Amino acid sequence: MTLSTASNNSKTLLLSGWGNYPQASCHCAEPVDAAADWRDFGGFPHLIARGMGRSYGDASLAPVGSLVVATRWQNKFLAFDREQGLLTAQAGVTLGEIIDVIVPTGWFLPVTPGTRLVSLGGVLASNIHGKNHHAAGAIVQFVESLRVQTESGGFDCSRAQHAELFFATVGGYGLTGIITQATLRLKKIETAWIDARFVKVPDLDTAMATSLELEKQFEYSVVWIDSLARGKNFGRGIVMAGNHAKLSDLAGRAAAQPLRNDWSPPVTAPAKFPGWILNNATNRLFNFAYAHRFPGREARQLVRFEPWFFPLDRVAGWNRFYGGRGFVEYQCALPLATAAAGGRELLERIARAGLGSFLSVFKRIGDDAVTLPFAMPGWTLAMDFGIRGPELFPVLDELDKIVLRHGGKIYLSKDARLKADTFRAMYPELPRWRAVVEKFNPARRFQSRLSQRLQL
Amino acid sequence: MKKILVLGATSGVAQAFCRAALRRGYTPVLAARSLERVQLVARDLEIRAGQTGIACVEFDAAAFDTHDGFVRAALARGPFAGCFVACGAMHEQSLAEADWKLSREMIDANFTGIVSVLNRLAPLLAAAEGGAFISCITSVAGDRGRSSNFIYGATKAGLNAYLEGLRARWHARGLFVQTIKLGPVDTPMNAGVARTPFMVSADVAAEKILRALEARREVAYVPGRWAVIMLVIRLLPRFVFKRMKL
Repeated sequence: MTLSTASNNSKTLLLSGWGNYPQASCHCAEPVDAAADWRDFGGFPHLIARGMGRSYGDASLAPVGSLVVATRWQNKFLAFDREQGLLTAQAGVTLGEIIDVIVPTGWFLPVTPGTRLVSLGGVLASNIHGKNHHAAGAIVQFVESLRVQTESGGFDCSRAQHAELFFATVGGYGLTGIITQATLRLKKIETAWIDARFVKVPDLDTAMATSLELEKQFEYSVVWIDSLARGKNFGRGIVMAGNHAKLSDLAGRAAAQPLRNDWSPPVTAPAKFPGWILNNATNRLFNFAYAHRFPGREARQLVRFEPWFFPLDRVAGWNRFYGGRGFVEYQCALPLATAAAGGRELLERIARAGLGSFLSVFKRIGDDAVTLPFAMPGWTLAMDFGIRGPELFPVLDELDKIVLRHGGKIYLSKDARLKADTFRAMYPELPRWRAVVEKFNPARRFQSRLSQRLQL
Repeated sequence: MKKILVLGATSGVAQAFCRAALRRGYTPVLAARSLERVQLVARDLEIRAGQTGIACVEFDAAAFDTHDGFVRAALARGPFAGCFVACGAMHEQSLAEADWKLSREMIDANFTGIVSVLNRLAPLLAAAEGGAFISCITSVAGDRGRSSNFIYGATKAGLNAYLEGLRARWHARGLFVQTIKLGPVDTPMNAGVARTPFMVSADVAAEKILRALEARREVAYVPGRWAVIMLVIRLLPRFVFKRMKL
């Protein structure tokens, strides 16, 4: 029996997002009961919920002198309807835990991000998108309902009930209150395998054309780009597309247990890893090896869903490879009409600055239904940059200008350094969203370093 | 279907123990102070394990006069392969020194309450066919009275001695009594404590506890490295120990 007195103790911890930049000393509480509402944490000017700490920048860091409310002990499954594919869980349950429960029963996540180590609350707050965004949309499309603790009390919301709070909370970065539970509509699968197609492309234009062609037959698609390739190889990459494999696609042992869940504990990265090891040379080597990972121009493979969706989860703590100074993830959305020109300009600017991204991903996206949307019909480009010195940041500011000029946006769950005025120019939806937040939180108690930096 | 009675079932370690036990084909019967909270845990376990029918019984370690009734109610849900005891409380030493209520709470939850309930359970479990077990969580803190945590440590030291005697008392009748000396585990009990270097997750601890149970180890440090650490600490002479800030 755990005593409630122990549960509301707060401690001070040095926290950061997944990028290890920025770091902030925060008071941190780990309430055990989901019923605990924000009023229990008196004495702190602001509160922000934190799940697995997998947003990259400062979205889950509390402002100075404020409190991080960790949802990690609110990790109970509440209901699972195997007939309808409806799953209800508390906000601290991770997607990995959900996968372990649903895959053996023939269900899957309707939208899958790049890691299984995120909490349900974080998934909603970031309105995560996956490799199927162009067709399926972000996670908001599959949220039946959610419960959020605001300053004005707890609300059950859905499309039918408190819809404005629903659409402001999904993709609301925790700023409408603390999400305590949610119900997701799952999707049916026959197997735990992906029928995947890999096509090498010589440049960005071909990548985009191939991707648009493949998305007619494939649910998932994404382009890996070798951001370090120069000269005639500039913009080369691999288009990857896939569908959930049908039972009839499997043979042998796989067919006998088509829904077997194969998760094996990952390897762990060393606690201290010198950042210089991940330099442009090793980066280039990795990207070269990746570009030549299969012979010929095209390959068709049946792959397990884990490496398809979560390749990086195999190494626990892979963020430490960037060394103590951390890294910045840069993800932008560009509208359909300007994406080719904008993407090219971004890649050229990055090349000119001598920057290299270890993993660069280009992918099709569609419309976004939330009040403060990131996605738009177009493309998204995601890159990571190790922080080796202050010279990185002015270059990123220039990238922001390119994005803005092409009518694009920066994804806040990955951001750690965007400027408030640039942000405002990118997100004209801000006043409408803020009106909803303030309606339920007149004192704006729920704030993060992100919201203060961007004056959200 | 082999059943295990789990006392203090809402604790972080107990929940992880139940998840691991379910994977091994056991069905836990959950006993805890708050019926509302333990029912939430039961539902969670059912969904994770893909089964139904995990029963809950109300159990308050500190309400000694309810223990006869509890044992009757619990055993009606049997027969049991054994009992896993995970109830306990920990308060910060300085607070417990200043406030008798907090000391008392630890003594009741960690020692008196467990003695009260195991006194009644042990004979009934010993009468079960095939040799039942009692596996009880104590703590490395019970090995020596450290200045930073000795009220909690004393309750666990008392429990260690009790379990050793219980083992001797019932061993001829086939009841297996196991002492789990647990190091710090990342659970809500330690929520007010900064993560220590040797802290393990509840899932790791639970897996090791079940392995120790399967191997029938009478006394097991979990994780095993604590056996070495505590050996060194036990060997420290008193004149050194009393001057150390441990």
